[in-house]
Amino acid sequence: MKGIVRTCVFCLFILLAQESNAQGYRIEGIIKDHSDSSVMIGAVIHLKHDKTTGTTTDENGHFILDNVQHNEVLIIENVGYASVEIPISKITARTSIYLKSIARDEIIVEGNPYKEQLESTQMSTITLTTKEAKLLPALFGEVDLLKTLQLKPGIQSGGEGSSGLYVRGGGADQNLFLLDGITVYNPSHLFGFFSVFNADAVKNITLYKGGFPAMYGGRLSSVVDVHTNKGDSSKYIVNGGIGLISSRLALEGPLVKGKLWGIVAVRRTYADVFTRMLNKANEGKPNYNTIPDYYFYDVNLQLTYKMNNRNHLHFTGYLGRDIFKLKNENNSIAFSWGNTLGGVSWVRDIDSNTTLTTTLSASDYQYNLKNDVSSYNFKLTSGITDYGVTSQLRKVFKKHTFQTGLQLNRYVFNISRLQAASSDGKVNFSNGSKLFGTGGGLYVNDVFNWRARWIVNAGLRWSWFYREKFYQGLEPRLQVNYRLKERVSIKASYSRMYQYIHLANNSGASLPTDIWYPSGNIPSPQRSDQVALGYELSFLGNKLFFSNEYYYKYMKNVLDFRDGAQLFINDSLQKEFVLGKGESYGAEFYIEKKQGKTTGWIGYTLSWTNRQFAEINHGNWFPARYDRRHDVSVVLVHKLNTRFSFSGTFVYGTGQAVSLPVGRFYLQDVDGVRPSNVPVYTERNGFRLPAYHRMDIGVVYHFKPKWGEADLTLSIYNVYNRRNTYFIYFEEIKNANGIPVKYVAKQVSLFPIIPTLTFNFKW
Amino acid sequence: MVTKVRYLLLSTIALLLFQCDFEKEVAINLPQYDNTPYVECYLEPGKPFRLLAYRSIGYFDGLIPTPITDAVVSVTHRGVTVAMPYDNIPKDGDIRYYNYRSNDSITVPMHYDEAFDLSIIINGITYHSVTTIRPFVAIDSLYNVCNEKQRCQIGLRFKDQVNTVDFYRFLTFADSLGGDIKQDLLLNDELFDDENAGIAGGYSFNEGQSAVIRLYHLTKEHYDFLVSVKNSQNANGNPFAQPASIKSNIPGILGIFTGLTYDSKLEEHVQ
Repeated sequence: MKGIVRTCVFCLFILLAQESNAQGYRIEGIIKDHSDSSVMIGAVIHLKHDKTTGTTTDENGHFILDNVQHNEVLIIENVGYASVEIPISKITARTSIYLKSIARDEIIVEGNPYKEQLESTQMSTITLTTKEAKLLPALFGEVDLLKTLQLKPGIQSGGEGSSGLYVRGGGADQNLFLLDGITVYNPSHLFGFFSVFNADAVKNITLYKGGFPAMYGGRLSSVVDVHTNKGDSSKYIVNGGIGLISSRLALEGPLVKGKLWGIVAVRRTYADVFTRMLNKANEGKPNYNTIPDYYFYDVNLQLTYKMNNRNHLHFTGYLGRDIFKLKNENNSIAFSWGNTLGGVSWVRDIDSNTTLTTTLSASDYQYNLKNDVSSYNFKLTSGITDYGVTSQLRKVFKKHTFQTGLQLNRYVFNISRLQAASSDGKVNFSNGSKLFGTGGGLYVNDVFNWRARWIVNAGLRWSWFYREKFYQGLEPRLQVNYRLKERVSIKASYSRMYQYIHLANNSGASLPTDIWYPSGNIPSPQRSDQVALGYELSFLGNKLFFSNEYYYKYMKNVLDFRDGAQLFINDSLQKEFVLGKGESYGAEFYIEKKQGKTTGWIGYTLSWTNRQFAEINHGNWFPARYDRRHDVSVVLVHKLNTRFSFSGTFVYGTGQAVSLPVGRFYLQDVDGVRPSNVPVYTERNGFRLPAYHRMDIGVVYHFKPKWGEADLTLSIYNVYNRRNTYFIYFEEIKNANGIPVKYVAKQVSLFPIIPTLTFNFKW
Repeated sequence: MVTKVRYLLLSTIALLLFQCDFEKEVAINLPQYDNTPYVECYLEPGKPFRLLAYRSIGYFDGLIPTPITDAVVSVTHRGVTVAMPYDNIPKDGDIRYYNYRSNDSITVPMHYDEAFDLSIIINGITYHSVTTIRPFVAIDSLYNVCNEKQRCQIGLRFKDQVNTVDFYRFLTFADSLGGDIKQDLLLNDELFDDENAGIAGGYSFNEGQSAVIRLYHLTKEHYDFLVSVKNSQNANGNPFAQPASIKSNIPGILGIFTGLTYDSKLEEHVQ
């Protein structure tokens, strides 16, 4: 234990209630992390003497144990926390127990580490912690939880280096990103290469790709629920890191001891510092093209106010901006975009079985483009603002866990507002539109045991949206778990989802100019119906976990754009939409090892994703850009000793479906002087890029200076320097006289081998 | 330890500087292309009826497209059909190449907004198209603005019809018609609040240079065709671009059949 006991102190706050019956006591309660009052999911609770009786906490940290004898001892265990033993006789209605945690690798949880997963009805769900993501190699050393999620089955990336998510054949616009329950409308920095979620500020992420609980709605394909780190309530901690392209700093601790605590985490890239120096050194040189300034930053703020043991207030704030500037003799361009969001949640434990959570929030995403050309200037603005209120009541009964809630949102859409003017006042015009929409939802959900081996999770959501027309729909949700054996579960789910707001995005990348647009007369809401069937088992003495799921998803009113649609500076976007249908189906295989010196997983997805629109591809079905027949990921982490750990990832995927021209003609045009070559595209996404594969490796060296803890992380991205195809284009090769002599195809790759060293510290 | 870290940092930078080519030529097997006919026909009031027809080619199939020599082409207007036999010999005053033309004595009438019907028979298949000639729109005035670097921009003002949807093309040539194109802008009148319309380009001219400015009043089909051409050209090489197909107004084949009206001005010695 020497040297490895973490200095931080965690506490478990346990609310226990007991009730006796003929056979013994009924024990139930909620387990929470005292440092931030967050509920602990998957904590193992079992009896010391009666080895056959035990359970795990659910997604709300709740557990129930029946028929417990008075002379028994309750044992509570969770990864990252020291176990605790409590004699049943000493348990009163409410008991608080403070624990000292030890390093994660020192804890060996007895029993089945996959028990919670096997017992839960939830399927098609991935939970990832920042700790896990930090062990893996990362592009430019930037730990990115969304990119780590791409290593799981059923989730594709938008392309090389992209943090975009394409879940079970859904588009990039069909993911609901929530930061502590507040919607994030643009989850990426730098054209999608990095996500907005700073790993220092995030505790964990849960991604639902199917089997959606009724509390979630509004997007067709996935829910990415990001939970922030709430900060330490008892002492001050400084976390930080210095990397190749950015640095980070996070401060956490109490502001009023025992009452108010929080964390602030900041991150900024600094390539602009060097480009400015280069520009200055080359100022005035002929033929030197000024390098634009680019940087991004984000700030996360999280505060928790403990009103009393039953009432907490949580404040979540986020501010992120990408800044792009270019200034030369003729032109000055300033382009900025980013999210601003904030919200307050009031969590009230009405009693040990009842919790009421109410959240007020506001989320805003805007981009601003300013261009000054001597005496002329124009400014283009687009964005979305969302004001929301949600309330959820959760009540645990003897055999039921019941949830109900409501949600109300008011949206303001700022569509391509353009202002142009000249300094002499001769030119002055504006364009654009401001649209408003209101939407909401009401839901009920119940998880209950039905007979001995069956667990059912049934829910119903009613959602609605109003702009020009009133739209509404019922969204039934059902999940069933049949415990075939203690270590084998068979699961099935059905979900219907409606999506009332849409992202005008026509590329594989996440661009800042993508615009959110509401349903109205055009477009109609999108709808999806998804069924999934799968089984899960733990084997080899619970060392390994295996799951296999099959899914089919049908999507109605999915959006695309007319050929040649103008999405930029167009306040009549509705004219560019085309509505169609889509389907996606496939099988996902996943094998995981969670404990021991070597951990990791292997995932494989076999899938098909197709779209059909009357106006595109002559009305024929065509594969979506992110249709990927095969997708493999292998992730391994090996902890050599307390100082060194090694990690490696390998990914393989069928190449993206793309459109390439098959013919061409020369356009003589009205002046007739310069015939230009015009490509002819005949089929949408009729070609495949070469298969994508890549291996990354990482080494983490931990050391303990006198002032705290630190590590050096070496990441090598694309270790065998694979030239993966980012896109293909056709080039006209001309001779010295400007006459075309031949046409060739060229492949463009993005990232070669990229080694990165990052220094991280904790003080 | 410090030495080790320094070594690692230097190695990292050295590897980053090892920038191999990110672009390479690759072989792509394209499917058989059906060499769809391509047609360009601009009806200019006062000029003969003329048309260019050839077959588009597979992307990597040679350089010179094959002219169509055996098509039967005619245009009907106000009940009168004008034949355009095959004739590939350039005539004085032609700025474009044509291989079908009417007798020089038969010219396009100045009938704005009245339909012209094109019929073209290729290999026994008849293709039809209908178009109009848009009313003439005059350039009211030009203005120049030069910056301290002696670079100048040119703008123009004109009257836009407020009760119709209109499409324009703004072209500027350096020195003379046929010189370098400095601006080529396509726009529709949604940008203008009232009839007083204006458009300007960037600082593309040297002070003292001459410029030819043209304002085309386009048909919607012509505008859509040109936009689709630009989009198609942009889609090749831009991973973020929208895939685009050519919006031909001659169903079944590629190309454009449209009226052409424009106003042109010469600006000598921009300053």
